[in-house]
Amino acid sequence: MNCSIAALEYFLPKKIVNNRDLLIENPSWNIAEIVKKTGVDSRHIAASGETALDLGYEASKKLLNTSGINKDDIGTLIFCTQSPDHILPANANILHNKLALKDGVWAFDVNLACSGYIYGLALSKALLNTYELDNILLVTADTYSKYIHPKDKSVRMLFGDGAAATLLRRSDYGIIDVTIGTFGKKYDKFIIPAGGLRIPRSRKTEEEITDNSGNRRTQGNIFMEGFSLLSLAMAKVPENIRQILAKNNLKIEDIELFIFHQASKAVLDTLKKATEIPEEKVFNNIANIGNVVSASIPIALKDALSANKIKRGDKVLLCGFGAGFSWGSAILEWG
Amino acid sequence: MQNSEKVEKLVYEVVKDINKMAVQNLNTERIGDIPLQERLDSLAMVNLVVSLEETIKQEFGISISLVGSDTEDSSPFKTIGSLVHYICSQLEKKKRS
Repeated sequence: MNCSIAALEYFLPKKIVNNRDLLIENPSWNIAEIVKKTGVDSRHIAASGETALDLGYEASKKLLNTSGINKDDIGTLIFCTQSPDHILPANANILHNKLALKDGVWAFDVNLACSGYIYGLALSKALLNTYELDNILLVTADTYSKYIHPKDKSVRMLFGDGAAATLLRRSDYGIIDVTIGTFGKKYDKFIIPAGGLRIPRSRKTEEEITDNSGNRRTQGNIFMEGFSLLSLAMAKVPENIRQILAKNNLKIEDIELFIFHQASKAVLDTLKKATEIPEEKVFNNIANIGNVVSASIPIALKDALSANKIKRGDKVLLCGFGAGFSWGSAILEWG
Repeated sequence: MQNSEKVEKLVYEVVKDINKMAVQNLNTERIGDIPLQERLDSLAMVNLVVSLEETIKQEFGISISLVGSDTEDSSPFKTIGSLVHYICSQLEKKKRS
């Protein structure tokens, strides 16, 4: 038995921060040059007090309204986020309450970044097959903006906030295969060092440091070593794509559309070159969304569907990669 | 002009374009010794890779990849000198293949 995406919706915060806003705030930033490589013109940013849970709730309500599914038929709720409301309980428990889902629902969080959607699809298929659960609500939501120091252009130019809600149902088609990989050796190349139990927040962790490019951050902010992540992406992702295609006797020409995690234009261009996937087969919506972590792939998938880039019977390859270092690909047959 | 000199000039110009801060204190340094990762932030390093790959394609007509499994520890990108050496070796490899 397989499972397929029966419905998909997303929700973005109202507030939009465009590059002109950032330039006014930071006149020394060479935004015109930076945007050529990031590809991000504007991004949605969560308001103060607006969390990933709130965004996930809005996306879920939208999905319940548009799909016509009865909320009492939801059997499982998976919430993928790295910006939860609390250390405990999980966002999934709180969302279960807010959506007034029935008792007996399996509800849990998954702490993953940009590979989170691929994991969500893999988990959904496994749960459907092993425990005969049905109607899985997969919510992927993050508000990285709250972790970013406003004076750190190396990350502030890239990331946006957003949430997606996906309904997965039992079917004869859908997820053809998923392959996933991890390279924990480089876990510290994309990290928020303080705030957990290893380095609790303190006055010391709140001290600002300024790097040689003038970016400021504390140990409670995101630190990203873009070069290492690009190297890891190039070392792992093209091989992962070749593997999943070969395992399923497929070639690039058999896939109608490739949807990569929208990391940055530079990363997407380099990946396209390394994998030799034709430009017209790669969907890109980073310009007005930015990098929205685990919500990136489903938002791009929804935009591709809205733009009629996918039709019934098409094979679509989704690929996510990021903090961890973690990566994965999924091939879907669209029904 | 020999390949390595041409590549060094090219890398220097790309670095200069990407981040003016990267070439501060040039008066006291040889170009080859300029420490890239100390001068360029995360975003600038990614931009450097992409810009260099584009420029090398234009100048030499050869498409090379500057990142992958052998650059995970970033050693070729430590200084302009080590980067020039890495680019020249990649160009040689491509020419031979």
